[in-house]
Amino acid sequence: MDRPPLLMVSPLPPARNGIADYAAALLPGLAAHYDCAAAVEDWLAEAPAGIPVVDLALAHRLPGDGRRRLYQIGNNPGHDFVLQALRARPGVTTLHDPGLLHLYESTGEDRVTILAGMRHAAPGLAATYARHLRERGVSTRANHLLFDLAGEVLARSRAVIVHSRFARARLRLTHGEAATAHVEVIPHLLPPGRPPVRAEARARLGIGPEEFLLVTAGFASLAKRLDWVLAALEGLPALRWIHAGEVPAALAPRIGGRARITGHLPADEFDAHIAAADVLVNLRFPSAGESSGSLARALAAGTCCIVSRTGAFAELPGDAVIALPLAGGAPALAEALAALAAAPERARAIGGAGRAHAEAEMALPAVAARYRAAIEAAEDRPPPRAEPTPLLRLAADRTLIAAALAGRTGACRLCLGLEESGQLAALSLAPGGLAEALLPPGAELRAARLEGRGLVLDLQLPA
Amino acid sequence: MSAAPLLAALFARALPGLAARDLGLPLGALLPWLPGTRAGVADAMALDPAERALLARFRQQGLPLLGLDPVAEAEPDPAWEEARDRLAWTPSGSPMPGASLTLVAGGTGQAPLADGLARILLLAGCDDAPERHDLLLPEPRLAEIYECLRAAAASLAGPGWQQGGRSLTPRQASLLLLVPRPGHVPDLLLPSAALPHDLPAPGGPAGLPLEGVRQLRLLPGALPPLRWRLRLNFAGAEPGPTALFLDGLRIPVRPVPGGLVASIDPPADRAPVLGLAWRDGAPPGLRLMALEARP
Repeated sequence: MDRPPLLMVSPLPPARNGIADYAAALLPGLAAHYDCAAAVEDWLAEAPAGIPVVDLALAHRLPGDGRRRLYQIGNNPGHDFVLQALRARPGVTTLHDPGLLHLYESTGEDRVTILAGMRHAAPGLAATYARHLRERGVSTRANHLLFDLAGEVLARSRAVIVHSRFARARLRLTHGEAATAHVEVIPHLLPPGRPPVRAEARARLGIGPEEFLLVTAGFASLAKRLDWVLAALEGLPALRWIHAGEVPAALAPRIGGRARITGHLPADEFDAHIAAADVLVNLRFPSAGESSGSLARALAAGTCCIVSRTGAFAELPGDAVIALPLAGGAPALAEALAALAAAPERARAIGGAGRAHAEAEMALPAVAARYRAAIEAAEDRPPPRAEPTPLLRLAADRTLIAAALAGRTGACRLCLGLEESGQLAALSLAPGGLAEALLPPGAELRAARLEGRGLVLDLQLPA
Repeated sequence: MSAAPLLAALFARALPGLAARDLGLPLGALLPWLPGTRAGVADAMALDPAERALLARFRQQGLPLLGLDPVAEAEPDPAWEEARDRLAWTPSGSPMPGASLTLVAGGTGQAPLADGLARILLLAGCDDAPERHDLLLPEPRLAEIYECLRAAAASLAGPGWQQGGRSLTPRQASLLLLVPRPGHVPDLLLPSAALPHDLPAPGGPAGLPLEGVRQLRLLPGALPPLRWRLRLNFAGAEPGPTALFLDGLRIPVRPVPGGLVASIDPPADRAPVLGLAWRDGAPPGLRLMALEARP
């Protein structure tokens, strides 16, 4: 079969990153349609058998360099290299979390870029929140819900794939119809392989047949509301709780007083905990529309899931999960847990319905076929036109500037830190003026302005 | 470009003290074969942006590759400026500024010579696949350089080699040096101090410090398209579990005392990039000393 080449740019295992697991699970499905390779930052990353892993910096040297590109982007610093690769060459992007502010903040992106993204995402709010950030260095948790910073990914991608209608609607509300016309929904993916058998998983973990096991999973961000779980279990002392994942140091004493915290687990151990559970509690508040790999694993295993009726979770069929209203909080969770503990067969029935839904909608061949359709449709579209100008923040040093601009072409924006106002005057008075004092030959200075203590230069670099 | 090792040997013998710059990356044909050669590109903007970004990662003796950082190149380079003979190897058909000798890979065709310039047509390489390269030089030095090259060719020639040449006009001469198959492909020993790499700190005579390094790229320059046995020599510690990469793809590697050994089939049209990776960082004290390659 003559399969066109496809390069997936993504973290891969052993990165402790749910998107790395997702990418590794998706690749065999895509390999049915494409001659796949995976480009990575960690050269020792592991792809499924038969799929070569290549250093991203050398991916252009692979045979068939005109290959289609698929980027996997999430909202954490492990995806910085994916964003950089997308900036260098457009492709189809899976946006696992429509909010990308944490990615931008945690990878050294320039504050001017972040402020510009905030302005674009929510113009009416940006002035106030940007002032907090600029003047006091305050970046609240609310920022991550209000300002998604997805504009650049939308603009640079030939198509954008999200896992829920909620995520697409959220992007559309923020960025408008035109900017999101190429956003498509492809459901999350079932994990590879057969999930562990419940009885075997419980025996392996030493869970007694009569024990009612509640599992929470993954990195315990605040939005996963382990505080609600803790409160809900106050009146349910017989229920056993394991958190299969890491817990931030600030939360660990409280959670660890009631739950056993496993820390990060290898995939097979993680799956065993989920399969052994009577119920997976997978809450979100607030939700930014993110998808959940843990939920996909639980659905595959036939484990009953309790979720928040919000974001992507609200799109699951009513009989496949228990969806709690957001207003209910801990009492609603306590009530649901007590009912399940009293009637475990109901949990089994819900788990079975969840598995049937997942097998119909989230199986690898079906998901891979939808990816293929999205990628091929994107190939027929013209490449993105309005690419946002990359912004580089540097000291006002000619050598550093030359190094940073080496290899770049087209429009570029520099934000140069000035140690003192006199430095700007000195640069302006240099023989040949500011441009000659700072810029390499060929760089055309289009505009200059002061922003705080930074000098922002708009450049046109030779092709 | 199998003539590159032969031409390197010819110039090294003909012009002792020669300073050389190989501006032919991403090929880098001369780079491994003429000790002390600085690597670079003739026209960075003509490169694919991804290749340009890749090459911009490398440093040689602490300096960016030539042609990628005009500011760094504005700094004095005494080894180059003070050399009597300064050879630039380039795919570009015109003399390189600052070079006293410009070796145009592939020749200049029928292009007329600019005033004041002379040309030596070099026909070199395997006798069944000779390559043409043109040496551009100032007209007053033609006779002297031609004689040096001719004498060096005569002294280099071994059994079965063909060598000869003649003055064609006052501004043009030709020199022929052909070798039976598989050509002149000597063993290669590259000290790490000369190797372009992408670590922030330069190496030195004591080697390239690697302690704690998780990933490293090396740019040895082009090897003729044969199967090569590579050996990476280390000091200070054994390298431990190490992965080796050729142009970004992992290849089998075998540890030996003090080093790593692998077989590679380098691409014909560019300098391969070698990569080394350690899951938990390179062991304490580990230094890369040299790269050996044997056809």
